[in-house]
Amino acid sequence: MQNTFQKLKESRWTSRLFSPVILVLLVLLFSVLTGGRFSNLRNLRMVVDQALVVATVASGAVFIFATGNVNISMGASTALIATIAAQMYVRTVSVPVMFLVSVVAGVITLAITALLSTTLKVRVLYITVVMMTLLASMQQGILGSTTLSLPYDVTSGLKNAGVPYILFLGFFAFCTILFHFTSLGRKLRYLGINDRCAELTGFPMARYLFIAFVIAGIGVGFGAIMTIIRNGSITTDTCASLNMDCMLAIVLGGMSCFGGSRSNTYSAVVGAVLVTVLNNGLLMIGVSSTILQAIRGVIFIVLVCVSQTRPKGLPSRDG
Amino acid sequence: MKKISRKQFLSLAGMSALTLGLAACGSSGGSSAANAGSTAAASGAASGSGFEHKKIAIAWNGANDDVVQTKAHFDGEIGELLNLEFVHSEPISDAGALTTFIENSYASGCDAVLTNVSNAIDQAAAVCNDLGLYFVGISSSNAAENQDLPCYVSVCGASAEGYGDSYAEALTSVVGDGAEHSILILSGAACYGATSFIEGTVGSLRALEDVYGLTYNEDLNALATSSVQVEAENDKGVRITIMPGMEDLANMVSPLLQTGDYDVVVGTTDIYGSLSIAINEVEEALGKNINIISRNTFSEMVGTAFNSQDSTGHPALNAIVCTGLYEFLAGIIVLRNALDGYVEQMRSEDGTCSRVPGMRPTVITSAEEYNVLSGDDLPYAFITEDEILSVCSLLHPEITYADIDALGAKQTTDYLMTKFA
Repeated sequence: MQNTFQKLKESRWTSRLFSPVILVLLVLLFSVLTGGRFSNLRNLRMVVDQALVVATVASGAVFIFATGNVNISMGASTALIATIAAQMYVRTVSVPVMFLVSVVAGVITLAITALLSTTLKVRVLYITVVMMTLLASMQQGILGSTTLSLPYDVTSGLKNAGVPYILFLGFFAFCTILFHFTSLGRKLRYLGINDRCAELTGFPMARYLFIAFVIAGIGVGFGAIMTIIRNGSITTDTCASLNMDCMLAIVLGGMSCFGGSRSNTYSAVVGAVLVTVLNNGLLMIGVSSTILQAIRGVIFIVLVCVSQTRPKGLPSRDG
Repeated sequence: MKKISRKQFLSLAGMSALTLGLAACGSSGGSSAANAGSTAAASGAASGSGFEHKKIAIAWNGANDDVVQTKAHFDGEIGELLNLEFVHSEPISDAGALTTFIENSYASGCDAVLTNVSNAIDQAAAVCNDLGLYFVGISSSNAAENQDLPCYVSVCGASAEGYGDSYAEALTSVVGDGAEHSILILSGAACYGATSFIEGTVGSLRALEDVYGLTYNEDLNALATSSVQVEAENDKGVRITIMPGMEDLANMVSPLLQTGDYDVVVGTTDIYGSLSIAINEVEEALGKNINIISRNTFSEMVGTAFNSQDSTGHPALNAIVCTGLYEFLAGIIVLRNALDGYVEQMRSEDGTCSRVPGMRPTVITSAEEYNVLSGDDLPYAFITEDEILSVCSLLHPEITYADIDALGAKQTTDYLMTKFA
């Protein structure tokens, strides 16, 4: 009985389906508790809108997580890129220039982060701690305490044209194909399972980490554009919680903190929507903000504990 | 394996119990929006005031003691009086989180939104307009964009000039004694363009201009927004130094005070909380009194400071500039009137959102004033129920936003002292 339970727990299908099933159950539960108001089309669209930025940035971050590394400067990178891109719009009044600058700056910023880690041979975590502070101070230097605002007709026009959806769907499809249908995804997961074995097989960490960061940089660039469109203004507080939200989304979506074989691009999306559904649903059923945080915390702890057990028998970082 | 599972289970159970226990304490100490709503609804009906039950979402930019007490006042007295239910946010600092809160509030059935997240007010107004929610922002600046959106009702909050006047009053109460003083003004975020900080600094400089009859060699705005420490040179030779910044104040300011050159420190932020120990050390070392003027709200710490003496036998705190006592209430009254069908009268005559500066920051310059104004939860109930009802359109259909503004404007420190002493 215990063996069956253990096998069930370690089954890859359990980890793959656990979070999506919880998400569906939560949607059903909130729909019942709110008399159907939760599942009306307008509310569901708002939930998706709220999750888009996190889902996009986290989809790119999956490539880094898969290698067993953690980048904690995703939020600071997105905030800085959003600031630069918004500045560029204010100067040129050109949306295409803003888009181009955002993506290019995103790729460059994360590529530099990867190069610093691989050339200095310092773990990604430590480099990104430094980068987080550096990028935040750069943003502070550009903005001060001022607010950088874009005209409402520009941001609402882009929103009504469905630009955030197009960016997200395009990037998610790109990530999914790369990660699940090409050898790149397999190599990144292999590095996450056991980097020494992978390197001996001919997959150097430095090269694949760089590629992973470049792909994540595109996600950061798109996330910055979506942030500008959604917020309409940029301050030093913009994206303050984005980094934690991305990590939370990836983990809640069922992906292991240690990367490896359980890495999936859809984890980021499921996790991002799950967090949003919880916030929206709990508020709709009248839970006050004080209790909302506590309930959310308990659910997160349970989900993380259940989804983070690593299957036995695979070569692991711990041996 | 069995042992590990039990440990995991116990850890989870313990964590859940602890978290829920803390949450339960928090909810019993604070106030649940749902409970407040039902109480308000029942009370509103019972009082026969005729106000229809409505739900207002308030997005807060912080979560200090002041906010907690204000929330309790709204959920209790104000909710009952105006038959309103309030949904409060967690602390919000950026436009994205504010948009999310507004959308979730709309989904939970709110009719209007009020916020003091001042860097995102115009964007929030647009989001509310799209959702059909009436909106009021709290800011010291006028709306810069989207003013003509029909759901953007008003911007409440003391004006930048009001901050300047209050600082001038506070500083005059200290330096207006005929003695010579040397003044250190901590301009905070003025160098980054924050209007209330700029006006606080400029107001202080103007007060010194009036008291000493001096003329500055440089423009006041340039002095106030300087990003480096600067001397405000003047024809009377009064020593006035302006120091910008908000980080690590104690280490930045202590060396200056240790020179013994300054006997008045003016802060555009809560400098009593961050500098009182450093100032006291200098006072003890030099045997010299240093007067403190700080931006604060009512709190146990400030009450103790006003009612105690420093090592030189002088008041530990000389004056405070106290903000936020009317702006939220004004916003709630404006929204109540808009929800009752009087939105046109709550907006400007030219069809844009109105501006309700109302009460300028309250200046408190003595322990006596502090004790009267802080007694019996008064800081959060300066305006009586009769005064609130006197500007409700449902009871007085001729009321406009200007009347709500006038009600706040007359609540000066002297008026409040007369009302409550």
